[in-house]
Amino acid sequence: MGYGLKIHNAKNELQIDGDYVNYIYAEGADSQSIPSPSVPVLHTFGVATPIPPVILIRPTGANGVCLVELRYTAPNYTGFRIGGVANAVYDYRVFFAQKNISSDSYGLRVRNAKGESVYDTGYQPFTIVNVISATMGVQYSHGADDNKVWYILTPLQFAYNTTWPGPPAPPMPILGSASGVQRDNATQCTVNFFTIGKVGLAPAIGSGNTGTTSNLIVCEFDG
Amino acid sequence: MSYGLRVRDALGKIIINIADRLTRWKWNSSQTAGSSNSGALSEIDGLKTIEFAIPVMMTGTGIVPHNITRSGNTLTWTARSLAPFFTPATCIIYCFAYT
Repeated sequence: MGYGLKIHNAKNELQIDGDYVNYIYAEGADSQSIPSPSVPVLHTFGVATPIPPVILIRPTGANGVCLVELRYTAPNYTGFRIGGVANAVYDYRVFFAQKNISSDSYGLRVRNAKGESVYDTGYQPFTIVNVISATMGVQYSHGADDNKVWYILTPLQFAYNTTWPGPPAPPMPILGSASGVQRDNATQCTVNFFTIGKVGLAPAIGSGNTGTTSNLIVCEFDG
Repeated sequence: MSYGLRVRDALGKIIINIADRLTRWKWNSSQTAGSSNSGALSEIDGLKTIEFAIPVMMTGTGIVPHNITRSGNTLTWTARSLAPFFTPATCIIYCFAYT
């Protein structure tokens, strides 16, 4: 870096960086819920963005939720869908890459060599505080301030399972599952598969999955 | 602690404290469904990063995101599926540094 400002804390971690544009809070909502029977819920941005957004989610109960997908209509990202167990309740926060300065007249503002805003106290960024290599069905301490904790679960894992009661009954429908995160208490959460419904008719009994571990990215955001 | 930066807003609330650290957006890229590849990212040298893939709804593509790994400064993204029910998704890959 030959331009701008860079400040480290006592652990030599960066506090201010003069090079990179960052993601700042754009919008959010609390107490959203998955319908019953479960189908992913579409959330549309108030203002679409051409740069891929970051979505943080926070389940508020013992039912798992996950970010299923972003929605894109060229040239903009227009929203996203959250999936989960029927009746699961969650909050979400949306972050956009921000190259323009805020309107605040007080605080600290840093631009990079291109004149883009790389740090601005008028905006609220999120912070990654922990990355947990999580196994499905295992409970973890999230290690964050519970009032500020948010999650990204990656990669999403999928599974299917078919059972057969035996002749003369036909095999049961194929039930699909996806991975999600659920809140257990103020300090702990669990990553696990949750059912997303029938994904096909059973040609044979059996089960499979894309994997049983995911990274749980624990973030903090105060807002 | 006598090192670092503290900034308050106009109301006196601390918005940067001396132990805070900044999460920085390093890179992202759109990868089509079923594609696997890798690439070097020199700007993550010596930094702790997290990489992840989020599916983007596209006509004719699936829902299973890429798996992302890092070795040195090289990121590798691998398409995944669970045929015939879960097919590969077009994804956005993100890379953030967080220390």
